[in-house]
Amino acid sequence: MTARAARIALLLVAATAPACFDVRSVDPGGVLIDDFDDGDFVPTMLELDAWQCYAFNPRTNPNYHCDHDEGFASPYSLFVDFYVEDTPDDTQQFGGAGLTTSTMNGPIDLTPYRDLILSLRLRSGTPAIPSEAVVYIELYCRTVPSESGAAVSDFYIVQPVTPTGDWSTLRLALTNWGPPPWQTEHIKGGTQACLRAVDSISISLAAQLKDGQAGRGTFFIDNLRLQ
Amino acid sequence: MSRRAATVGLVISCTAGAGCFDVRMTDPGPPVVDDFEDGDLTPAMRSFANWTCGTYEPRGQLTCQLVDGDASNFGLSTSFSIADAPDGIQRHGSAFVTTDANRPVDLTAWSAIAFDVRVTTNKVVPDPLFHLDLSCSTVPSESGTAVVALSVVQGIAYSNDGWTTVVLALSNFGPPPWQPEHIQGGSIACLRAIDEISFVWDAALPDGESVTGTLSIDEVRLQ
Repeated sequence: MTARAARIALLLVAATAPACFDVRSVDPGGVLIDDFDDGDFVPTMLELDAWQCYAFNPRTNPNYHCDHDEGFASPYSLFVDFYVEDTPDDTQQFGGAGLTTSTMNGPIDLTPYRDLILSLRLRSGTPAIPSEAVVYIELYCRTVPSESGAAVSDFYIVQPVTPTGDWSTLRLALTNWGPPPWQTEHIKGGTQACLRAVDSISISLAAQLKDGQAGRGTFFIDNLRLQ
Repeated sequence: MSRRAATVGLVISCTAGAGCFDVRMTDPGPPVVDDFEDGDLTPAMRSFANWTCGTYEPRGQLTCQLVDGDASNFGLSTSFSIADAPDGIQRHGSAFVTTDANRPVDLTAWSAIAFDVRVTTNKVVPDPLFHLDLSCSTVPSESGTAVVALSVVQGIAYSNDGWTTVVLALSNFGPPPWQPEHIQGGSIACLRAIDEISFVWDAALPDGESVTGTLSIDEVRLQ
């Protein structure tokens, strides 16, 4: 057999022999959502659009803005500064403010990850935000159908955390997110179906004001990553 | 062979011969937690203790009664009166019916819990919150902090007009937003070790208001 014929034979064997693959699942590793250290509003995670801030209950509250400030042992974090009033009407509106980023090209699947890790802190102003304030970390999945078939455009799952005055870093297991009980239309496929099709991440600080109270605060986030 | 010998032979062949059994699987049907048709407060599912009724905020006891069920002889009902103190805070006064298990029960073999519910009130309540709570008091929190009872919950949609049949997929139970301690292992770890089932109707009353009514359940089943 000539050297040329041998090379051709080897090529044929390589091209037609059964292939071997390592089919073990691979840890996707960590993904940085954003550490804000580039000083802009564009998340590091390429699938996500620019960060925005908002107020809620009421949505019409104009007294908020977001920007960057010193981070948790880093140059920058993202904050929303806000003032919220609870209308004196015998009902607590549970108003507050938050920070959000949405996907640009359709939902993303978070199920390969185990935890969402982030650092946060709340700087209370005057009038003070009550110590009962809660942060809701909300993962929206607006394209997931409901069990009943009814059109629902705002499905989300939520996990609460307690904000602190100093920076705290939290590792939140994705298995601990769930639909809020006030969401009486239910997600077809449950929490897992939502985690497979997340289209925005919102971090909302609910000030837990009493009826008729007001509060001012600045809520910071930093170093968001999936792991 | 005498008749007696034949009889003895038959008996021996019946006791010593190979037996034939129908070994096909039989569907036991959906497990009934309780349909109340035995007319008592003891759940049909024996892991669970007698139903009790009460209120949260403030904590109090209510009388559980057996009344007409949803197209059946009996359902479980409790009458409640809830008042919110006029202090600027909505206390989320609630009525509940509950049953505790004497050992953790693994619900993950099932896909849903189904039941009938009825809530009647003396006036329209603008924004009540009705939820089913599945507690797992033996499951630790992620932080290791002692927590009285971690739970997973799911909201219940119901009609104000009589009984409503509800089916809740177990995949949609999750930790409630008012539970700042997180479950080690998440919702699935809780569903593997359920030791309390509670139907909670939270009136979510405006500050200083009150309401009276009845909360009834029937046909609680796993499926």
